[in-house]
Amino acid sequence: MKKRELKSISDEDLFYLLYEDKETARLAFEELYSRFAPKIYTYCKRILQSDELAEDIFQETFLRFYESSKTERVMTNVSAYIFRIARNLCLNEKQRKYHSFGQFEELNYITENDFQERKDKINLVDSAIKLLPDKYREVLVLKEFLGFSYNEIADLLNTTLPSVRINIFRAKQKLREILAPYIEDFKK
Amino acid sequence: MKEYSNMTSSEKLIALIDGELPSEETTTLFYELAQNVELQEEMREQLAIRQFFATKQLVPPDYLKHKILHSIGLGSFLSIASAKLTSSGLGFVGLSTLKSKAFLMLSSALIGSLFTLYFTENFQSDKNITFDEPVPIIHSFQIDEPQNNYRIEADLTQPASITKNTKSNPSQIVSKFKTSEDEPFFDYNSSINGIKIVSVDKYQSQYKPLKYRNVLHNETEKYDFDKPVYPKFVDYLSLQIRGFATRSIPELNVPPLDNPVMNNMAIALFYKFDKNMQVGIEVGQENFMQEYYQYEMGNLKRDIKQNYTAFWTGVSFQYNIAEYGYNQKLYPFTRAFLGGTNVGPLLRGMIGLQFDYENSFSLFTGIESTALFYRYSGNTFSTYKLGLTFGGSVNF
Repeated sequence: MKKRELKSISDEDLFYLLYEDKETARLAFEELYSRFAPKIYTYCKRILQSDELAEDIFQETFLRFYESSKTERVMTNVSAYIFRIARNLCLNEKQRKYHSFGQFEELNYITENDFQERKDKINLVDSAIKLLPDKYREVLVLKEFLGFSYNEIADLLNTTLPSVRINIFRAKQKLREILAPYIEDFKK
Repeated sequence: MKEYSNMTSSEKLIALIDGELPSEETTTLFYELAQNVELQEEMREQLAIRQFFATKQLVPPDYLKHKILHSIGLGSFLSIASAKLTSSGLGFVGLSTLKSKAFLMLSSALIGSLFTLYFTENFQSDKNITFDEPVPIIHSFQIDEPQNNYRIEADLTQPASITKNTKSNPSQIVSKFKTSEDEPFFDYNSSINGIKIVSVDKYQSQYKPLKYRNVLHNETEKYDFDKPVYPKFVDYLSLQIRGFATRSIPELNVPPLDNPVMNNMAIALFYKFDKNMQVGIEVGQENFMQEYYQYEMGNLKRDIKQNYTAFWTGVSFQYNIAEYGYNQKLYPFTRAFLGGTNVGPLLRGMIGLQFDYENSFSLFTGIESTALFYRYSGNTFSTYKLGLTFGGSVNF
């Protein structure tokens, strides 16, 4: 099977190809990796807020995902499955080595000089997102950075749709509150 | 739709921006937006904030993929070679990386050696030269005659015009000036067809044969040179090791992805064609600061900065400007390097000073500039380094 042909195969069918011979398994794994790596990596970095930890958990996620292909005989949603692995690993890591995050007032280190370019504004928003409580930041990352729908997030987090909606609303309200002093610059 | 009836206008607004509000609720919200100035302002602010995170997604470094593939047993040779040492990677992955690097070095050296052998075989054969073949015109030479216990070094004051009728080859020159086995006779004033003997040294048994260099100067010349004496192939080789202290351009405050032991060092195997030119295969490892971007619809989507530890290999050409040095022992040189890394081609230029101690050891120092080119998202990016280099080489 050629690499090009794998592009049109569904996630679930690719997962079943992991049972095949080594070359096919490698190509299938690489294709799955290319589909999910940026999202998983983004999720790990945004949630753990540490490059080193994020890389470890990112690797561990794909290792466990591959290992599971030897035992999981039925796969209905690869995306949800691999995200659950990543999420569980992130939660375990956070419980093991809890990082306390600053409160909203700590944003005063961001100065007026940071508004020179678009890049600085992106960094400013990133800094503001880091100040959000974990449960708000997670839904915001899943929605805005990874493009999941409310329903998919509810499924991933094993919660209800209204709960997701209200958490995203509160996350954005908090973000607006944090960035209030700079909002006029954002509108320009 | 009962759930939406309990939502505030602000909540509905967020759902609308996220594309999650049903169309029937949208109509109601639009009506309210038209009436409510505060809600309009809230929408503007939410949209203003959203534009600065909506499209940003991070890309994992390439080496993570190789490490994962290797860990699960699906890695190819390239993935093994690309896997990087990390703080916890001194186990199997790190060992494999070292093995693959050693393999790359050896294979590069082997390919280079075969190429050089082929080159030597075709252009500097020690087969009997007949009248019909192009004959090298000697500019300088050294002849070792261990059995006669001496050496003659000779230099041409002008290009030789040796012809068929001239009974002169290296062994005849030796015999002409030799009067006894122990004390070779030396006549400064003697010359044969422009060849002037400039020195005669007593041969030392531990003295290695020096270079006997000839130059294909004029292929029209014919010469009755029966069997010229050439040194062994390894006599032209030198092994070089060097370090470098360089500054990156751009200079970013980013820690390296990993910190291997043999960093900022290079090893090279050079083949000397003559006193001026040498070509070699070089391998090394150093860090490069990279900053690259991806734009989507004119907007910045990604801005990635990293301190990349690159393992590189390639070919170097060095030109020694021996004529302008001091006593042909301390002289300037220039070097050009063309090679590659895991991410793209590498170009390097160097100028410096070299000091040859006897014929066996050299020291050098110089300044070098390096450019690494790499591609991301359809665009080519580059990073540069400028700094000092220093090292030594051992001649075989």
